[in-house]
Amino acid sequence: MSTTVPKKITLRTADNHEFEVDEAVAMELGTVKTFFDENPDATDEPIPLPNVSSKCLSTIIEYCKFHLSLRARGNDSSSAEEEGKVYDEELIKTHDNESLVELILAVNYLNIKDMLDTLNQGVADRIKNKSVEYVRRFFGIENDYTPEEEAEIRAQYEWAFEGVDPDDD
Amino acid sequence: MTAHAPWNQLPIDILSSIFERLDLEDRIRFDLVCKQWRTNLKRTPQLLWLMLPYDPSSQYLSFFDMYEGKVRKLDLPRSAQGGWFFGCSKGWLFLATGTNVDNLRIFLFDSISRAQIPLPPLSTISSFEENFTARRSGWNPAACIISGVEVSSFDASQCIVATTFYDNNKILALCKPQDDRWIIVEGLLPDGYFMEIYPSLMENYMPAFYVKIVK
Repeated sequence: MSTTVPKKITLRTADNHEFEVDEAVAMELGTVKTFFDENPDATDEPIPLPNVSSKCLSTIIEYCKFHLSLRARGNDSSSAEEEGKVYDEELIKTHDNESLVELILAVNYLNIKDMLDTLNQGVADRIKNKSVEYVRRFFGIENDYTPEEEAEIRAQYEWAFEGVDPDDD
Repeated sequence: MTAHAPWNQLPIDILSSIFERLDLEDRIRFDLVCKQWRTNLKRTPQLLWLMLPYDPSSQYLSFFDMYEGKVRKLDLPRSAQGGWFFGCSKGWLFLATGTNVDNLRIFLFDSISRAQIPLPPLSTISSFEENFTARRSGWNPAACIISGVEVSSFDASQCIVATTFYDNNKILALCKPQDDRWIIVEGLLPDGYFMEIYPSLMENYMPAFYVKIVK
């Protein structure tokens, strides 16, 4: 590590807020990293992120900073792993369905694999062992099966429809 | 579409990634959410279940779920309990129940849908009783005489079943699941040779097996 001041990169969100972050943090965003890999002579101009809101970007930057600091600790990996888990659970808990979708779309656009995995797991946990009707409401999906088609599949896989959790909304 | 539609914006890759994290029961159930889910969500082979030895007195099949690292149980319908598994092909298990010629029943079984497709009685094979009575009674007759079995396709309405036998190892017995009796192919081999059957990948074009002639 050199003692020079770390390079800063400026990111500009869809709602026109600018975030100045350390280069190491910006490189956690796959899309930004690819941009610099392909444009090594890029100037210090802010990088526009037209698909990301400032609310999402600040969550994402916090996430990347936290997980970078955990990785930097390296050697006490078991406690770091535990702290990472607690952080991820809290991240899911503090997002309702709507803000979770928005965050997933932003993280997908920015190509941050670990964070996307965490968020997808969070969604899976929300629909695990739920009824078909609950999941349709959850995703806002219209049933396009005829009653006959639906009855046939239900009868064929009857056991998979038994013992689901009661719908809580 | 209803008001909270933002989930609809999720690309199919993300939905698939969410889906992969669910259990088998959830995946089967959520096929019913809508037709697009049933056809478009990618099925990764992430669920790897090893079938554990079946205890004929139990009411379920046990599998070791390599992904979750635990033993999973799938209930067996009463009519399939106490049987003997004598093979597997194209996702179908071959199951035989009964302990003597009179109550022997052989069928294809799918442990997920629990479908049972009956096969013609082995007693329609002329040499069957003679071969079986030479064996110990009280054992499942199919277990005693069948050495190999394959289906030509996972689609039970289209498939052909081929069977070879320990004692009478020069004959090949063929049937469609809905047939009344087995068709016997024999007289093909000189003394000292016998047949082994293997699955073929030609199922998209025609029902087919590979038959290997062994000395």
